[in-house]
Amino acid sequence: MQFEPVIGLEVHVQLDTKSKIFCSCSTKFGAEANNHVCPVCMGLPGSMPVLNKEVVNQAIRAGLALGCDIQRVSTFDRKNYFYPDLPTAYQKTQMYHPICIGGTLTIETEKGERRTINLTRIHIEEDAGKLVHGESIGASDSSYVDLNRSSMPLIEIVSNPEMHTAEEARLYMQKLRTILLYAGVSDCNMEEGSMRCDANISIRPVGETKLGTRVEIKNMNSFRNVQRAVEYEIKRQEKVLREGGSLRQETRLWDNDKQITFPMRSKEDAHDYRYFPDPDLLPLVVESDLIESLRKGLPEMPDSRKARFIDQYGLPKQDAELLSSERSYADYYEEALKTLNSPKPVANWIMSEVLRVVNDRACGIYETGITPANLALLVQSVEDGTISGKQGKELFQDMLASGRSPIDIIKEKGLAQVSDTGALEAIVKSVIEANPAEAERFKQGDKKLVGFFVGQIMKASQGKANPKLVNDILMKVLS
Amino acid sequence: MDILKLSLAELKSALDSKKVTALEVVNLYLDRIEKHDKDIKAFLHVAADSARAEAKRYDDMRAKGEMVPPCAGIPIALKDLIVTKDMPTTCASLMLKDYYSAFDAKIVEELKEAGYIILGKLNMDQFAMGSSGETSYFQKTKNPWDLTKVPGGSSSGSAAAVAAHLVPVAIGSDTGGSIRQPAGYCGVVGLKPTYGRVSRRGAVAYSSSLDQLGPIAKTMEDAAFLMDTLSQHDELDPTSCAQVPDSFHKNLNANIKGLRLGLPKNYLTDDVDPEVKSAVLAAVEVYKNLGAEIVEIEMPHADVGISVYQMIANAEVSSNLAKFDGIEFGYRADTNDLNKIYSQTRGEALGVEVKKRIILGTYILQIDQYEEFYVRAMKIRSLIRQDYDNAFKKCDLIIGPTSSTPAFDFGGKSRTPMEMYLNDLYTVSLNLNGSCGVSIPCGFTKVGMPIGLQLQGDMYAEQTLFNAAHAYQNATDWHKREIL
Amino acid sequence: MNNRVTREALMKVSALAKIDLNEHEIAQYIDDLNAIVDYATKLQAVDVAGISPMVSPLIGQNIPLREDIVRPSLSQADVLKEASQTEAGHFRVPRTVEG
Repeated sequence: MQFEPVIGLEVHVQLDTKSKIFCSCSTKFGAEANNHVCPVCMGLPGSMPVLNKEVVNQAIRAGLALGCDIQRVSTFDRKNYFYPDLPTAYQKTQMYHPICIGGTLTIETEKGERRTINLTRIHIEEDAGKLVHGESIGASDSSYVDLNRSSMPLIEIVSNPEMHTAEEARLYMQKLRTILLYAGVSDCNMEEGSMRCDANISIRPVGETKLGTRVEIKNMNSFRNVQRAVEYEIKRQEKVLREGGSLRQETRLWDNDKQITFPMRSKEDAHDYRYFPDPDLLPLVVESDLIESLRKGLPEMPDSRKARFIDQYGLPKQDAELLSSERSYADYYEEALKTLNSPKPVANWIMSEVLRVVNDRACGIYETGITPANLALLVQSVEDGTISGKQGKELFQDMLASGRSPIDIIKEKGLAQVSDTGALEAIVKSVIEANPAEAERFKQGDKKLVGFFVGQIMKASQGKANPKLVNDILMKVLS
Repeated sequence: MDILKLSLAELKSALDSKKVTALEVVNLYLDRIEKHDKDIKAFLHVAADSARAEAKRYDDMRAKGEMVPPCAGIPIALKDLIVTKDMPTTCASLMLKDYYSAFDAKIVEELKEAGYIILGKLNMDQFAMGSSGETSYFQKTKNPWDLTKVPGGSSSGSAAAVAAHLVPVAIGSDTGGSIRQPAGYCGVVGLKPTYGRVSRRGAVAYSSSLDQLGPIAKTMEDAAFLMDTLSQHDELDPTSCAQVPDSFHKNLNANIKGLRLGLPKNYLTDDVDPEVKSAVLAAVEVYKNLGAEIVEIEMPHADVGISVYQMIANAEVSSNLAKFDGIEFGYRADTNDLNKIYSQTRGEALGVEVKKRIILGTYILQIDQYEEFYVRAMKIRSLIRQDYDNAFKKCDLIIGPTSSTPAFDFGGKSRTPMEMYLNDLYTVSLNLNGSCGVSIPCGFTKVGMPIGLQLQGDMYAEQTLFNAAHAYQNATDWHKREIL
Repeated sequence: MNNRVTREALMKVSALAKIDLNEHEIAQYIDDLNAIVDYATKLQAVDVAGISPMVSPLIGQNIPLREDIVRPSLSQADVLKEASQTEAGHFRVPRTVEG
């Protein structure tokens, strides 16, 4: 029997704000334990939540970037459960009336197949604190609660269950990250937990329309892990069914060391979250003016920017894809084009040189020390023959190290090529005179010797001769 | 000059004109607490040292001719669910024994800024759940008029302390009648302001959509005086009222000619004690003589108010009190099993009534009960709001009893499970509506127990409500009767 | 009285609410809850067709929003001061996961 996997993703994204969702504690990552905590986010008796305006704006931006219907009225509910990282013993979330409904996200598989995944909803909620276990803090039989993360602002983006491969799940996550980074909604840092993914996976016989038993997978903290965990889980479920077993509706965790999923051992026994409207939090009413002004503030989204790069700059699809894959890359590229309108050479330099540094250093494209304008000037110097391509690459290294303008470095180091025809002719002549035998053979048709002469001329000019001009003069003088 | 008989405004003048010092006033009350509270048991904590120090500080400032806050030196005391940094806040529960909050409630800030001196914290039903004061973990407050009777609840200590002149004015909280009912039982004035009028920040939540803080005072005039300090907008309470009134006290006007008082049809049922009934009807006559017009109104859903209240209040309780789990603050059971930390802590440190309400609330919020009980209750709450809206088209205020009986004996209302809850019949609907109401003394039973008259107003209709209560007190002497 | 709240139902709810009950409480709560639930059958008689639920008295009001400004948090000492068990700047609980 052939099985069809059905995958839906629930992605939690930490919104980029200065303060927490319901209080004024800082959201900065990496503070000492329990240093960004106040009566509200630690649930002290008598404390009350006040919603952060920017959280609402960010959630709407995310919704707009993903083509959702922004709801004029949404409400907050309490999800009740006990866990040591949840000091109020209820999470404030939007169960019954979320802020965004619908929306889509389009992915393109490696085979080039485009698929549009529908979103169910996006809702606003608060994060829980962090539990650290065992000896890293104290005793091995203990867990330790740090509430710095408690009440961090999140949105949860829920997709319809309509992906069918692990690759699609990974592509969905990557595309979501690209879009949210474009919209400036989150830093989407999976390692720091600002983007987290739970996958709901079931399988069913091909042709069956009813969904199979759903298993939820947690703890996949990279794109690669999403793909691997989903792949593993699909195979596991197929094996169980093929062997005549049945699946349990359960939550499983991805073990990255063993590359397997395993059932979560939960100390929570009964489950009934008893959702009900939070009486402290009145309905959130969003005026259409706000939605429109946020829409206007959004940048061009990646798909549209990619298409424009192909149309407007004549870039090949791959180049357009890479340069639009991060908003910062695309911004960098277009800034460089303002200084030098040579779309393909500038694209080449960014893709081959700048992005290599970005990858090596794992830094942002604006953090290499080379500004878009300086990169453009470098490309221009190579394009107009001021320096050679090889010199250009050396100059790039200099610029990386010093952060200086290529013009200054060229001047200071005297890198500019000798393009003065008179001066070059003199050098060419002196080289021919010094090698009469070779000159004779060349004249008789041994054209391979051109390389020898160019080499000698470059040596005589200490590498500064413009190779193209040298070639022209050589041909003229020898023929 | 008998300080005990001064209104708050008169006390302020006496202090401002240095006819009396703040220390003399504070000492007078501290001495009375020392002398009488061993019988009445209204206070859970008396902050004698800090109160005297504050009083001295204000006296020094006045002596030097420095500016002092407007109410500098007026003593006050707080129901023990209002969190304080430098006094314990227990909610009368073992769960919060010796608990010191890391922040002061908004009204504590407001009171201190205005110069009030906080004498201490007052006993209450545990987590404000009760109508007799009997559910306190620590002690049972007595009714000063008869120590064998309950003071009412849940603001038992607040009402008893004011009635016994242990403090001139106190703060209570009212979720289903917890200010008005004990005020009625103790012969004092108890005001439940409009929901959101007084900041709830720092009041340990019972039911967030019903809770409201308010004054318990000797007179309506004093309550209005205190409300001028308490009616502030709080940006950190998301339900705080944004409109701040000019001054209720200055605008008090005892001329109520033409005021329309609504008397609900079939309101004074046979369950109402005959003495209460006749006192209320006599009060109606007083109002007629003052020029008020009595109109008949209908409150079709009054009889389901108790049930609606139980569903809504307890659903919220089950969530609001879940934070008392032994981890970040409060009592923790002696066990090293995580699930036991929760269940044993809560089993041991929460009172029987509190646990019962949490269990009930948890029951009705379960996924298979939610629609039938909770959602239905919220819909009927809408109908109750409609009842009030319709009533207030015909009248300005609704008149009736605060409770169907006067204060009862200790243990006197625990025969059947519903008996105690039905005691709140006349008060809960107002909390469901969210508007303001007051209980004022309107008579005494033959055995000398006070009877409360309840006036209910519309949302933000405090001034109308205050004027009417003030006019009644100008025309009657019930509030002046002394405990022998 | 229809005894809708059974002992089993009560035990499930006390587990959800995480409250240990003694036998005396169990017996009392079964009675009390049934009395309350019984009394609440009055609610079933009310016609609520087309009526929306009232969550808060502040009908028609919007949630107030706060500017995104960071203000000082509590000190770590103040955060931890009322907890019964703390260690190295954290609240301590028995270990929640294996390993």
